[in-house]
Amino acid sequence: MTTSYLSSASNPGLQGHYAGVVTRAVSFGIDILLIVGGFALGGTVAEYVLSALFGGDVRLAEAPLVSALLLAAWAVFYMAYPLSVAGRTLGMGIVGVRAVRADGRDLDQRHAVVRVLVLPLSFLLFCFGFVLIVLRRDRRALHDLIAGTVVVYAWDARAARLRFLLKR
Amino acid sequence: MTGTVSRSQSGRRGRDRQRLLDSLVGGATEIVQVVANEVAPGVVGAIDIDDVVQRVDIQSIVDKVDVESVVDRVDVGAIVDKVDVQGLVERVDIQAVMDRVDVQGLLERVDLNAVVDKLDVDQLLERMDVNRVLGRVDIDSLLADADLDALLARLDVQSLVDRLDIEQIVAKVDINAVLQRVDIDALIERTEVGALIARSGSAVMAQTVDVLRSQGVGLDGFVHRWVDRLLRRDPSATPGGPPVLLGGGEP
Repeated sequence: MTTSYLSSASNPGLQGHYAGVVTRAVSFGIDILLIVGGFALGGTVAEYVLSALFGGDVRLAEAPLVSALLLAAWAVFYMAYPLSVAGRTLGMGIVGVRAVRADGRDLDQRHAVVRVLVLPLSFLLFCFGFVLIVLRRDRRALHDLIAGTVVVYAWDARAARLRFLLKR
Repeated sequence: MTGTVSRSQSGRRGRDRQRLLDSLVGGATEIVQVVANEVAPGVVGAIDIDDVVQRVDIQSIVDKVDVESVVDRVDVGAIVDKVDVQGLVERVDIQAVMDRVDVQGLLERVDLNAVVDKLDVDQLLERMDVNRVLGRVDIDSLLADADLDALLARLDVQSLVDRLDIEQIVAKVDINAVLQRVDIDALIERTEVGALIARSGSAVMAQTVDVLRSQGVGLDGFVHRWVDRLLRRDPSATPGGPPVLLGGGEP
């Protein structure tokens, strides 16, 4: 099964095709923002509750190791849980992509957790793991290769195109 | 000879009798005329016209009239032309008349289509102040008496509407006065404005997401096209996606 270059205008039915690097980068950026924003909000609430329970002024910034561990745990939970349940994070859902197994089957819990745990490896060597998305024909990053997953378009581009034409 | 004399005598007697009767009748007529001249004004002055009108059973009169045949024989257009409709309408207590008439019974006996066909509605409306007439009619009580379904079933509404100059009617209606009588708050409460706003909001959101996704897909194609060109790869050999998702294999 081969295809020509991606183009929403010439080939609107992209559901199930390998997602490109720009879309994946946007979804990853959204996820990072949500992870950081959610951690900041949750940290503020936790500081308030802990201060009320134990008295004094509890600040997570004064315990950087604990904060880093909490942030890592929150990030793993944020990405692994929705991936194992729906095959996509919130950012992936917004841009319209989802992760599946290499042969196209749905992700199970093991593949989802492994994919999230090995994700930091793609940042090594100047993010070489992510450069693979551009270099490989199947657009798999390093963590995709290790976890046996791929990322595909999951939105009905053809229907979106028809909606756009109807409104003109 | 004797017979001839007696016939001339009897003829003279008859003429005398006739002359006497004429003089008596003439005298009596003069007496009656004098009496009538003296008495009639007093009698007429003593009659309470309003009381007489109140005692007239208009409904029974209406029931006895063959309205259909009367309508057939009347040149409605000619009558309307001769009548000062506006002056007539202003002098009539329409509400009192309506209260005393069995509107439903009257309507059932009239061939409305025939009346409407003979009437120049536009000309009639030109001569009437519609707003003033409507202002004097208690529409609610009028409608309560009439079986509108039966009335409409007998009326060729389409032909009536075709003959109306709607623009002219609307121009004569005081829209502001009508709107002032409308309970806008109650009207809005009965509409689903909130649902409409939510639907339009979600539609705008869906459109925005579609545009952003389409832009992302376009940029994906742009980047990968240049990479393939730099790496001298054959674009037609690029796999589209996992076989299962593209219908090339079993899950």
